[in-house]
Amino acid sequence: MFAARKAEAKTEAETELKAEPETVEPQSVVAARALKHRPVSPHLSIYQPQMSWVMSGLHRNMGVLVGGGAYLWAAAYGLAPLVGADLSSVAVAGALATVPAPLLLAAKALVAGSLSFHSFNGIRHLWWDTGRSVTNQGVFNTGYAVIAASVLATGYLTFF
Amino acid sequence: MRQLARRGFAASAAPHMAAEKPANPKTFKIYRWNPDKPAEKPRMQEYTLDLSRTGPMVLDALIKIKNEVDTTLTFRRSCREGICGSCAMNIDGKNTLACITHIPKDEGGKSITIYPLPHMFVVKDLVPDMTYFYKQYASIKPWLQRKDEGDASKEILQSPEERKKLDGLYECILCACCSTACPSYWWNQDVYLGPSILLQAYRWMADSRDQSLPERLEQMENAFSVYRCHTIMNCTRTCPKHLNPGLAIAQIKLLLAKN
Amino acid sequence: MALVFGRRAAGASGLQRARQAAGLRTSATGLFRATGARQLFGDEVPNPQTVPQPAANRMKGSYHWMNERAVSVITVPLLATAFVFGPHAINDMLMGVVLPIHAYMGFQQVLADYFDLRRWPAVGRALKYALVAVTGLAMFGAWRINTTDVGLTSYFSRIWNANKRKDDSATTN
Repeated sequence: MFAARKAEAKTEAETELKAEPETVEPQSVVAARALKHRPVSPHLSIYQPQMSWVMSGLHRNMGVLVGGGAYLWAAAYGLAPLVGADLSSVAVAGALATVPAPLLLAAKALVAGSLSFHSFNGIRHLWWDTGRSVTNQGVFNTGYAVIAASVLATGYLTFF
Repeated sequence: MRQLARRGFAASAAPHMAAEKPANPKTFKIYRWNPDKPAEKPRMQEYTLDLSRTGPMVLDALIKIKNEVDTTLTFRRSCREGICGSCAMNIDGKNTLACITHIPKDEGGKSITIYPLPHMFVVKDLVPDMTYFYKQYASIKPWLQRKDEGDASKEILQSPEERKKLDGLYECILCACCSTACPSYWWNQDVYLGPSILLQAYRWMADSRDQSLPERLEQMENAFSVYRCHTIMNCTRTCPKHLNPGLAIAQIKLLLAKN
Repeated sequence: MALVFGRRAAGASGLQRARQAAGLRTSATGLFRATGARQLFGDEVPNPQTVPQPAANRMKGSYHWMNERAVSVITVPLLATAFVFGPHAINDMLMGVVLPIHAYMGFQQVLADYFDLRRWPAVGRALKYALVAVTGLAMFGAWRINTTDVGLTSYFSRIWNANKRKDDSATTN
């Protein structure tokens, strides 16, 4: 039985050896192909949401929202006479008065939230730029302070 | 009698009765990519281990998987004590060293996900290509630069206060956990030096024995080397050696502004 | 292998040379480059062979950083005055200048992070010019609101309170 197994193994090895030369490529070719196709390890999709980068991302997004919106509005105001449109405060206020209240409230909350969060977080950034509170504990403390102030300011601005 | 009742369990149990540890299965989801078959997309592979028969750290689990389950799993490791920086990887969403990260137990069947360091080119499985990272390290000239040669046989003296300034800077093991946790480094790796390298740059700026501070600062006077940092602070959050690269970068910016 | 698809054009950029060195395809001439979209969502561009060291330029380095902080610091009392004390001609005028500058600097950072010229040569330049144009227009629009309309603060507060009841308009500003 043992001899039979050994004979089996020998013929298996022989067939494998015979098959090898046709399938093996030189390592340089394999390496060059790997270099061309190598992936980039995942980043945004797998990194744990943490106060540090989530708040920073929100700061930038809200800045773009408020700033971009204000930019476009002011630019539109500047161009309005060319197009014949009227963007004066009277006209816009009149138009907005017809918009249903919940929609208006939601829009106001978004704008107020973005503006207040970006402003308070901006102050937090300026505080950091002086070198203060640039520690894990400092990031948490100032972060929660900014969130609290933003929530309060948003509530006040939206409803009052 | 009360005193007797307070004997430890180990003293009271019979010595030949080894404690029966219940099987504690844990699933590991690990990023795999084979450079021998580069057209195949990277994938996640699941392995289940009995934690009662595995060491406490994630690296123990990886080694056990490689030894007993799948020998093709590839990762870097060396010291197994958190000082060499080889086993830096992304575990459960955070960059850290596998050898000093405890495997979370008793989590009710939750699996643990392991990725290589984020936004790096992958050589194989959990091994990122660190070549450019080391080139960036060399580019900040991490050695003492002096104007005058002075007496080569004598030490360059430093007061205890001056030496204290290096605490929190020299301990960096260049594991790249912080740099690869920084979104700015993800997007602009080729021009932004990253928190790890900047921490080391500051280590030489803060060293009282170094006499080339103006040149070191001059190297940073452009839009990218330092100023891609927007104080996101992912770096300090993730450092496995509890260092503070964010603060070092803030100090570099202040030095640049003062000059 | 690096020479299969492209000869080294005389004006090959550092990006092209990096791609050639890594064995990736480059175009035959230096004119048509691989678009930025592929670089972000397709094959990643490999890192350069040497770490680039741009010339020291304080206008782009520490001076720019200090200017950004100065503008941000000025923005805080301007906004606070507008919210707390209501409309004031000088405050409105200043806001009409400072706020667009602050927004311009913020957008500049966004462009430098995501659409830098070394990876997005055409789109990046277009966005840069668009940003300058929109900033100019915004400043012009703000100036028009301040001069021909009720002023920035009042404009904002009237639109903000557009759906309020008319009878408590005693303190309308």
